[in-house]
Amino acid sequence: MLENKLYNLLARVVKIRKGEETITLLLFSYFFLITAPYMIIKALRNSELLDAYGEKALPPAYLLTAILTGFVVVLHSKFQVRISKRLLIISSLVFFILTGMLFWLFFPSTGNWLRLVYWPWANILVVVLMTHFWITVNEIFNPREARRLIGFFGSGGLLGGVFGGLLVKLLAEVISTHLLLFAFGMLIACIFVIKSIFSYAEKLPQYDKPEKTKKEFPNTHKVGFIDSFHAVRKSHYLVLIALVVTVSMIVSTSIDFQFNAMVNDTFENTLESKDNMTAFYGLFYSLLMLFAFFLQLFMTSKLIKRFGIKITLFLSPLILFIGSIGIAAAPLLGMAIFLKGSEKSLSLSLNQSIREILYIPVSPELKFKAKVFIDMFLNRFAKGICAILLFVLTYFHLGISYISILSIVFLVIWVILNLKISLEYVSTVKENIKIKWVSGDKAVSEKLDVDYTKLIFDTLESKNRSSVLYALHVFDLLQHEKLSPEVKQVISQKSDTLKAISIGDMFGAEGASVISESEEDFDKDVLKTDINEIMSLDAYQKVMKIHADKVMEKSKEAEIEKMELAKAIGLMDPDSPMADKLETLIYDDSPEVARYAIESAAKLKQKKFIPALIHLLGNPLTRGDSISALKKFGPTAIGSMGKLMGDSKKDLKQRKAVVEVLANIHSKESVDILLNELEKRRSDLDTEVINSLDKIRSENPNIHFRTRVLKRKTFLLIKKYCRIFIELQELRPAKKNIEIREKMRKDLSISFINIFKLLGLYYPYIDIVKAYQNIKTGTKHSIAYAIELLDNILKKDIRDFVLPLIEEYSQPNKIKKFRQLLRNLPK
Amino acid sequence: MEINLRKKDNVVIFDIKGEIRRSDMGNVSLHQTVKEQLDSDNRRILLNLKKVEFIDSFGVGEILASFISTQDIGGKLKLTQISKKLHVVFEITMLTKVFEIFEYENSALESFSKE
Repeated sequence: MLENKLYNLLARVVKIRKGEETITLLLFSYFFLITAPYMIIKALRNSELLDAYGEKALPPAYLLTAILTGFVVVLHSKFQVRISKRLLIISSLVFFILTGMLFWLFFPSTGNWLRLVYWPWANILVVVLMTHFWITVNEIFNPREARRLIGFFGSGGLLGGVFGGLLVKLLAEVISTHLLLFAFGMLIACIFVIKSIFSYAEKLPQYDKPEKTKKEFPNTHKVGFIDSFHAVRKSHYLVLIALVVTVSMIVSTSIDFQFNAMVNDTFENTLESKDNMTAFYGLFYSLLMLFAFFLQLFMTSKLIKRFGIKITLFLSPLILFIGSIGIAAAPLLGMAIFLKGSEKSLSLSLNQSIREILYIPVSPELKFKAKVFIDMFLNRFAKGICAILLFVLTYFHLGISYISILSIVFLVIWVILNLKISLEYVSTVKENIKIKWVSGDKAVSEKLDVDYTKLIFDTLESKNRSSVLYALHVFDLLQHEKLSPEVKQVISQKSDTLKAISIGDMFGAEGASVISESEEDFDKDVLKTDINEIMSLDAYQKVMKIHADKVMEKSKEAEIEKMELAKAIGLMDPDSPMADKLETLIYDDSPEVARYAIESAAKLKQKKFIPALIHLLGNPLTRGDSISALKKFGPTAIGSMGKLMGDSKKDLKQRKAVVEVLANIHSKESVDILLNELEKRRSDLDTEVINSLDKIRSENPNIHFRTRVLKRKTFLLIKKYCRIFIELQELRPAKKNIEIREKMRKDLSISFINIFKLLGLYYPYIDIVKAYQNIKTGTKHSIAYAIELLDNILKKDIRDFVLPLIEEYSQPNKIKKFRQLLRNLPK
Repeated sequence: MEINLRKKDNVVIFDIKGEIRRSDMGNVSLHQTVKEQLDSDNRRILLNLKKVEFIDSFGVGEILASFISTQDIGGKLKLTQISKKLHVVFEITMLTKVFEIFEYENSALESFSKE
């Protein structure tokens, strides 16, 4: 009951699913309870140091932070491999609470040096706590879930910041350093939240990652700092992320310096400058957090959704570039506030989300390793580098404008790196999802020569029918260089019902051994030439015509002789008089005779046979053979078939068979005919045409189709899918509806696959196949990667209508979403 | 190629020896010889190919032409003792359906006498 209320409440502001409400709220609280105290600690950090030493202390403070963070990272990685994550996180919190209490105790009585120690301590605290928070999120949610909920967690952190900042603003001038006690109180509360998170998470069905990870990566718990470094070094993609983090951190530090210097200049000569400064920082960070909160809540997701990761990546460096040019031109506190405000609010909202999205194509194990190095060491290292640069600039008394130029240089590098990473992101996502199965057609054609296998079976079968038919088959095999020793072995097996006495004698005990290479006086090529020459003889044609006339006068009892005749004609010259007999044999009542005649027609490829072959597409007994024959005719048969297919009054089965034939003729004309059919608003051949185009595309990935037609059909199918889905949900669960329901489910499934097949015609084929297969049968992770891939490769006009079909929504939300799609789909 | 003729039970038997091929044709062809017999009103012809070592498509053409000429005047031309290889060629070309082929000369002669 309570959970339902909580779900309903959260569902209004976040794309939450049933069962996620408690854990989501706990993680929201976790983030709140680390950012609020940090805001207090940070405000005091700035004002205490600036009051004691002025802005000249900032570069050494940054540098000290970098060095000490390096030690902490090494120490952290050692603990990390020895103790559980829960223990590591809680004991870190206890450590920071206890050491923080010491600062609180000794601030009033100790000299300024303690402020210089407090600065890196505060920075290390935020690094460790933030990293632990994201590690916890990754432990519980898969990338897709995390991406969906990041906005909400992030808002928890930002709200914490607002709260902490306001507390500082209100109380700094009254209680000064005693504010720290509030911070520690919140950190103690955070320990209980973390305990609840882990206890709750262990009960979740999806919380199986730690165990899985152990199985998949047996050395997981032996990973140290060096391993983390190597993990990054070995992956080009992670190196790019690391460089982006480094450069953005240098920019951030440079901006931080400019801002703090401007604040110090403003407050250093005021009465009670330290507490005023603390209060200013409190208010500034509070308002900053508030701004970032709204940015996160209302803009981040929309921006990423609207422009995609590739464009939003450039938003931060662009704004900061403008701000830096502004402060270089006019170094005023207002400009510094704008610059710092933009940098920090974007860093806490958009950049944070982008960073997490960039980690999506990285395996959880690799991400865990990389995050330790990148988040805990690298950004501090970057701060150290920037500190040295600032040392140099301040040593030469170069003002704020020069430091802005430093930012501008690094902003340009940031943009270049973003360009590279945006290209690599999609390819890394693609690498992460695999093809799950190959199509039946492809699997068969890759492993089996269907025509050859059929010929072997026919040869074996012919053995029981007549010696002539058998000999014709063996010769056919020989002609196609398919009479391997293994085949000879198979076809020479004696049969009890062997009627072919004479050919049996000829082949002897070894059956087909007469066509054996071991016989010195036998030459296969000579035999082939002889047979061809004999068949071309006028005398031969004359006697065979007489024989054929006799045979064809007979009815059913001459079935085998007709089969022989039909087979033999296939070996003759296409222009030979005997070829004229084939058309009659194609129409023979016996399907066996017709089959042989159809095969021979395909060999002779005479245009005059095409109408007969098309006619037989309507006969279920000969349809398969006619399809195979027409495929072999290729482009010659297209014109006649196109006319038939476009005529909706003709037999549907015949028209469907034509579509199947066209799928095997990879010419521009066949594609055009299929697309013309697809262009019809209502066609009873949609599925067949889409399947055929899909087949053509799978065999020729570089073929180009008319996108306009395909897009239009995609929209129509999406419309159909949404309508069926809604109707299916509204269908009453009555007995009489069982059949209708089944049919609708089938239609739904066909529409879904057809949508993807269409997408595969105008987007990279393999990517769409991968995405579809991973959505249909993949694990939760592979589905998430598949959606991520689609999110990146589909253009907005299609993406906005395709992704809602795949995204997980509750039933009512899905219906609502589909109704919205139906309204918005292009007419 | 060498052709020896003999007559038995009113059947002219062609004992052919050597190779029946285009390049080995001398002054006389098989078809020409058959035609001569037909002109002499010998309408029952039996080709004994026991000693034929090789036969090419031209040779088969000669047999076919002889067959047609015989058929045209209402005569009969039959074959006997053909090699296994030639039998295979005849099977593949379906000529076994057109020619009457006998394993032994006697059985071929018997078939003539029954007609």
